Amino acid sequence: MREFPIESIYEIMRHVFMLRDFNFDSSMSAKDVPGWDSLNHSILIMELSLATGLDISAEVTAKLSSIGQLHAFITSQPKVDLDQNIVLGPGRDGKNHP
Amino acid sequence: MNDLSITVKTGAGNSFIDPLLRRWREQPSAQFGAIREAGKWREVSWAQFMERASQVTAVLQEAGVAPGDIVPIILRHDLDAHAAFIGVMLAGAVPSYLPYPNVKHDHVLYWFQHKILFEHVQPRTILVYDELTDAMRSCVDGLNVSIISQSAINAARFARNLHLAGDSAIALLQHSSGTTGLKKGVALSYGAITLQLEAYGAALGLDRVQRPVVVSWLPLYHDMGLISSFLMPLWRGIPIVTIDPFEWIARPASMLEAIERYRATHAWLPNFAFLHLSRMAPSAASFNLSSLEALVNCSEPCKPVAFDAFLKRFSSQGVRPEMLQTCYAMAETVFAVSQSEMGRPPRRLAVERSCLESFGSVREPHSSDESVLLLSNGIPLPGCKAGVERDGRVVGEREVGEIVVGANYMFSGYFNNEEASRNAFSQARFRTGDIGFLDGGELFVVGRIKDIIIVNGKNVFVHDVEAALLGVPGLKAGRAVVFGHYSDRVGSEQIVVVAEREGGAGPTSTEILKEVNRRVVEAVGVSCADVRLVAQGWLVKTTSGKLSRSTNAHKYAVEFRQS
Repeated sequence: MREFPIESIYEIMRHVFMLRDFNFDSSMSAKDVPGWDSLNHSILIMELSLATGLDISAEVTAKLSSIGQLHAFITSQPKVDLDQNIVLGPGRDGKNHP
Repeated sequence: MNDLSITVKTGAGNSFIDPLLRRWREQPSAQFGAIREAGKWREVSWAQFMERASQVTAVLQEAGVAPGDIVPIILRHDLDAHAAFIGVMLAGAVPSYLPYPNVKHDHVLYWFQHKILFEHVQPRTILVYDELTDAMRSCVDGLNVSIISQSAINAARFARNLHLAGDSAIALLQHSSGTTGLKKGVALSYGAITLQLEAYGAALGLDRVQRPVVVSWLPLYHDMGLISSFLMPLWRGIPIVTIDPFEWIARPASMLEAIERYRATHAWLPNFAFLHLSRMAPSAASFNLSSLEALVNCSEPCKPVAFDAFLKRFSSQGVRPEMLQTCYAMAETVFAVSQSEMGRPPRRLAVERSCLESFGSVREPHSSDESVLLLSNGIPLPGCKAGVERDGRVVGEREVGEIVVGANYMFSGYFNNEEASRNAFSQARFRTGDIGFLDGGELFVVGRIKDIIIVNGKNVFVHDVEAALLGVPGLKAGRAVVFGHYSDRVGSEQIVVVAEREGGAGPTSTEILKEVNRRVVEAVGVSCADVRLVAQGWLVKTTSGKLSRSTNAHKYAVEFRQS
């Protein structure tokens, strides 16, 4: 499971939808939020992808019916432990890197 | 298909259908194009396309559809959606695309609006995708309308007798959305369509293009998607590569992949799409877009910033400035009124902002703060005359007013709506409802008069949004205005609601915003970009006591959007 507080999603939404004082809650869907249209959804997902390091699909997430479901989707993605030594295979320079 | 038996209704040919039939006989293996279905490309030959159309014809004839009957089509964006349109024409009937309900729409309102439409146009039968059949039956209960499900096409044999109407007959109906728009179905004759397709093809220089291919994600129920990206290439035998609009919105790069894969040469896009592609195409991905001859910006005011962003993003991938073109179009003239000159970037003109806000003379700006940069929409097509009217008189160049047009491919009127048809004309000139001016013979389109907000290419009627606001708890009754506000960020107009709050305790701001947006989305399928709650007395009235949309829009822009 990945950790990503739902408040972080709210902050990104405030930025993308330009709603400074809007009180989001997990039950809200796109219909409840001014500015949350298909285009801004794509931008939201791009911002969430950058924030989480995940490659999130706008197509898949467009079908989720609430912010809570979006949060659950994000946190259900497997966590990658960046501190672990993982052999990735040959890098661009052809050498193995730990 | 060698043994077509054709009955021509009027004894004369049909200049739109005849070439399609000829190609079917003489070049059955020619490419119709490719359609993206379920994540895969489906390549379709001319014979496959026309055979499918013919199956639709057979199904309609079996159902008793007669020449002249209206047949609404509500299908998803697949081969059948394209073939069905022609199949209806081959039965001599009149096709009309309608959008299917999406998850955002309030379904009760959707069906209510469409029942009004069906009562208005009195279709003989409606063709729908299978999952919509039961809901459609409920909608038309009590009306003398039959429903045909898409799967009925599969079992049909090819129609043997095709009934073609003549050039003066109505070929199709096009409707705008919303309660207001659905009653203004634009009726276009076959003759008007082919005159436009000839004139527009010439303006685009299509005959000089070696291997033209059109790529599109546009919805078919919109005139740009229907005419520029389906009927025009179809008529000219140009392959069509088409993607579902919903897939494109979620994955804009799908269009760039299609251009590269099929070496597409032409595409039409609303202004916002240039910005959306620039922003959303994956930065790591690179596409070969060098096959393009023209990406035509249309259906919204065309903005230089959209072209600049697109060029900055894609010039390294083969896009050149002269590929980015503009056009001014409307359903009432079939499609294009004007087109910028191929092979060179459209002219840019800097004008003083204030001269566009109220009708007057175009002035050069004195400072960059006052300046707005406009893109030319090109010169009127052959067969079309465009002028500018103010106070009922035609004015000269560099005078801002309402654009009026006359063409030999005008629409036949709004179907079954004499009043709207009559009001649309001023001394035989069609009043477009668009604001603009002429300069050096070129049209510059700067906005709308009519109470329509064009959001990402979609027409949203202000009245429909205002109606949705009635009774929202926490809003002072009758004290809300709705207008369009152009967003540089998105590259399109957006819906803005400014409303005065009731005094005393009541719903919170968030609760009010939520309810307003929910109702607007359910009514028109589009989210508000901004819902601004203001104190009582903020909204400005006209001298006649009505809330002034334009004055309040200006006040909003000054107080909330300038920083």
